[in-house]
This record gives sequence, C-alpha cells and structure tokens, in this order.
Amino acid sequence: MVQAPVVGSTGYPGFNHLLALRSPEIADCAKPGQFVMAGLMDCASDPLLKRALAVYSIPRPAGDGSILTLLIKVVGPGTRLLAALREGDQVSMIGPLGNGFDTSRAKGRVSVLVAGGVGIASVFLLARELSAAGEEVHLLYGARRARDLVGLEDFQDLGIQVQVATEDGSRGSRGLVTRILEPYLRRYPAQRLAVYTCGPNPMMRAVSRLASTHAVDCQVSVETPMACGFGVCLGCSVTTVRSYRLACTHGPVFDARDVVWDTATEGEGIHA
Amino acid sequence: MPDPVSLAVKISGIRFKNPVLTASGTFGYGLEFTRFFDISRLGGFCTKGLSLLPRPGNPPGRIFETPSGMLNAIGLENVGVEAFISDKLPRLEPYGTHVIANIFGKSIGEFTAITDRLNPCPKVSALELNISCPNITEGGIEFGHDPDLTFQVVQAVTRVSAKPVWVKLSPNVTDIRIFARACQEAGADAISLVNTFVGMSVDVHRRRPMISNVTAGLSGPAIRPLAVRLVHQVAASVEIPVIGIGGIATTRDALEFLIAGARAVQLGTANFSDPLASLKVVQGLEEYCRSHGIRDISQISGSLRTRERPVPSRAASGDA
Repeated sequence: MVQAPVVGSTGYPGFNHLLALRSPEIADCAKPGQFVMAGLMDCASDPLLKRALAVYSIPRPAGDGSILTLLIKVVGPGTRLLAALREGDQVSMIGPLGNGFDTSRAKGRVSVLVAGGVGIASVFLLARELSAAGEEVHLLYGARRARDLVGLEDFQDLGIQVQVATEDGSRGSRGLVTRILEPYLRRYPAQRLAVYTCGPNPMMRAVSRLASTHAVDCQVSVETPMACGFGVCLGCSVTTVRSYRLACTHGPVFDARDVVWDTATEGEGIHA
Repeated sequence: MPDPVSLAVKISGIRFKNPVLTASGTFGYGLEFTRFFDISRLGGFCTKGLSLLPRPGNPPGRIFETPSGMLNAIGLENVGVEAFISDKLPRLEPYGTHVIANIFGKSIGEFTAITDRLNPCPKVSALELNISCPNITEGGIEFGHDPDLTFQVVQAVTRVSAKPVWVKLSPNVTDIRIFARACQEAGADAISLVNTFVGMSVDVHRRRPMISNVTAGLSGPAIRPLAVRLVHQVAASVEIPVIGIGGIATTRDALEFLIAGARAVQLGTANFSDPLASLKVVQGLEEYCRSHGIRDISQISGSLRTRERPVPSRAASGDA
C-alpha cells in the first residue's frame, strides 16, 4: 500500500476526471488491464471502501517518470472526492492488482479494442503496448453522446485507427459500438483477429456474443463492486462456466467464452 | 529508555502477544496479507469460515457499500477444511501468530466432524464456532438464534475438541446475554461478538435488492456503537473472556471495546480498505499504554468508569 501525491488533476466533460499520481511502486510495474484500489485515507469511514480504478496511462515525459493516471467517472461520493483532489493532496493506493490482458497470442493479429464509456480507461496501456510492438490496432469507442468520449486524442497520438459510435449520433456513427465492430469481424479471418473489450456489461455481453459467433478470441475486462481488491472479501464474484471467480484476483480480464453473462450483470453499476 | 509495556493477554489458556486479532471473513487464510506486513506481529487471526466440504458461495451481487458500512452476503465461500489443512496451514507455519480456525456446519455432526479434522493440527490454536452467519440458512444461524441449540452445539464441540473453543455470537437476537450464558454453561472457553447485523438495501431504479441474497450482514464503523454496547452487556454477564468485534478501524476504536469489557479485539471490515489497520492498532495500543502509564494492557479491560459523579453526602457538605 502506498501514499501517492497528486501531481495533476484535469476535468473533462461528462463528469470525467483525470488524476495523475506519483507512485514508482505502481507506475513502474503496472501492466495493461491492471487496476488499483484508491481512496483518500487508509481508515476513512465514509466512504468506507477504496475504489477500483484501471490504470489509464503511465506517461513517460523526460525526467518525470513514475507517474500513473486514473480516469475517473464521477458516479457517487467516492469518485466525487477523488475527482476533487488537487496537486499536493495524497491518495492511498493498493496495486497494481489483477491479471491484466493476455497479449501472449497477439503477435501478427489485428487487435480490435472495443471500449464503452469510461471503460476506455482499461485499454489505453494495451493499445500503447500493442502498437509499440508493431501490431495493427483499432479502437472502436462507443458512448451515449460525444461529451462522454474521453481520451480520443491519446489514442490518435498512438497512430492507431479510431472509430467512434454514439447512441445519439452526436459524433461518429449513430448507434451502439457493436454496429461498427461487426464489419471487422467479417473483414478478417477469425484467427487473424483478437478482440479486447471493456465497458458496461450489456455492451461486453453483446461484444462477446458477436466474437463468439465469428469464432474470434475475445477478452473482457469486467467491473464489479469490490471491497478489498486483493482476494479476501470475496465480494467481486463473477459467474463463469466453471465456477464463481473473483474479478480482483482471477480477473478483471476473463476469456469471454468463460463468462456467464446473465448473472454476471446482477451487481451492475452499484459501486460508486 | 521508557518502561516496557506488556500488551500480552491470556484467553482460553492461550497467551497472545497482543490483544489484536483479525476477524473471520476479512483476512482470508492469513496468507493474503503477508504481502502487506509480517502477520506475526498480530496476536492472532481468525480464518475464513471453514465447512466440511468446499462451498462456492452466493451468486454475484454480494456486497454493497452503505453509510460508514457495508452489506455482504458472500455465502460462506471457502476451500473446505481438507484444503485448509493441506494447502493453507503448512504455509502458515513460519508465522508466529495464533491461527483461530473459524468453523461452521449445518448440523451438530458437521461441527464435530470439522473439529475432529482440526484436532491433530498443532498450528491451529483454537476454534471459533460461527453460529451467527446471517446469509445462508445452513450457516449455523439456527444454532445462534435458539439458546437450547446454542448449548447443544457448543457442548458437542467442546466435548470432542482438543483445543479451546470460542463461540462467535449473532447480534440479531433479543437478549444476547442468554446466548452468552448458554455458551458458558456448555463449556465454551471464550465468546467473540458481534457478527454482522442483518440488513437490506434496495436499488430504487430497478426496484431490486442490492444484494442477490436480498438480506445481508452489515459491518463497518456504522455498527460500532451497537457492538460496544453488546460487548459491555455480555462481559458483565459471563465469567469467560469476551473478544470484541464490530467496526474497529483505529486504536481508539479498539480501546473502546477493551474498556467496555473485552479481553481482546478483532478488526474486520477495516482490513479491506487498509490492510495495515490491525498492525497500526498494535502500535497504537502500545503508545496509548506508554502515554497513560499503563504497564499491562489487561488493566484496561473492563476498566469503564460508570459512577464517577460523587454522591452528595452530609460529610461532604460539612467539609465544604
């Protein structure tokens, strides 16, 4: 567990916020798809629990290493307090946690990253790693409306191809992100593709089904309520074809074929 | 050099280096915390509740945060007593802390069968009977809500156990003292309290319970005053030691329970947000004793001063 000073704090439209923290312990070893538990103090009582947040980026400007950023969507009191932090404040963090994405079979494949809303936070490091390795990477990014899209420029800076879908049509294609995913699944042979997705459960369920229909490998990064983040509260269970698994230690990334979505969505969206 | 302070306490014939333990269900099997600190610094810890066979637990929708607390209905997911003995216990050998095996069964026969399996394990210092989990019907709660059944299960276990037997009580009863006395009469060596308060929370948009099990156990600072009162009440009504549990996160919280009558304390929910919370309480108790001139922490237990106000008397007024 570390106390990390806030070194930057930026607000975005759509109740999104980017918090930059100096933490060599976490920034120097976090892998794509891993997360941290972050809170204001060690023994705060209200809010009581730390919040599980994906490591969004590990910026590498010269002479300013060991910084990580967290993309926070303000949905309740815990995230509101984190978003209100300013330079010099401290964040108590545990991490990096979780398994992260498996990129061992990404070589030579076209990687299609499908993100919904703040789920974008889980896939930036993945996009950076894959594109640095010379792989072809596409980002398909869906949101309700244009102002809910965050971080687009970061992905564009990587030089990867970005496509956007908004439900109200205020930017990119009108409709759900699965609509822009399907053409990819048709365009390439299944064994040349790998899908990685993070977003709301209904979106990931739809992405998983599409990938499964086209026999394409798909990894999903799930979000569940979580009290500890390191495997002791047993609160973050995910229903898989074999058994209940923990999002914190077995996940948060699962093979889409293993996840049983009907019950995995039950606790959806209740952690703020 | 300041005078040495003794934090050691004796409970059920066992000497604990300090009165700080961690509560079942919040500390895994101990091993999960070795990445954060040397668990040998603790007086002891209580394992996740162990059943005769492994249990998968409840469907997702297991936890929900509430003001200064959280609801949980994990459903006693655990590896089972056999896997605990073969996989977990050997890895706990290097740690000089007391392992309290928390056990539960759906029948007296299951309680005694688990006890039999743990009897030959020297690394297990004591048993803590969970007769108070509110979240599964076969979780022993029927034993914890009927004083006669409490007596029967405690007596059955104490008869076969080679180790001291603690009983963890449910707060969800009308008069907890009746259950505490039943435990004492049945031969229990100590009582730990409280388990979670049964509660419920509703998602008003979807009109669904926040927890898949509908009802769940409330823990955290929200329950602390309720727990302190129950510990105070029980400590005054039994001879055997009482271990205080309920929303303890800081040294001050732990002291509340000790002063109210507990011989030791267990930290629970605090371990989730601060894995070092229990260690900080160990350090904090030592500082408290030092700064208050207390040589032995046992002096604090039950030291609550309740009738401080002088009663006016003729002599007193005559002096004035």
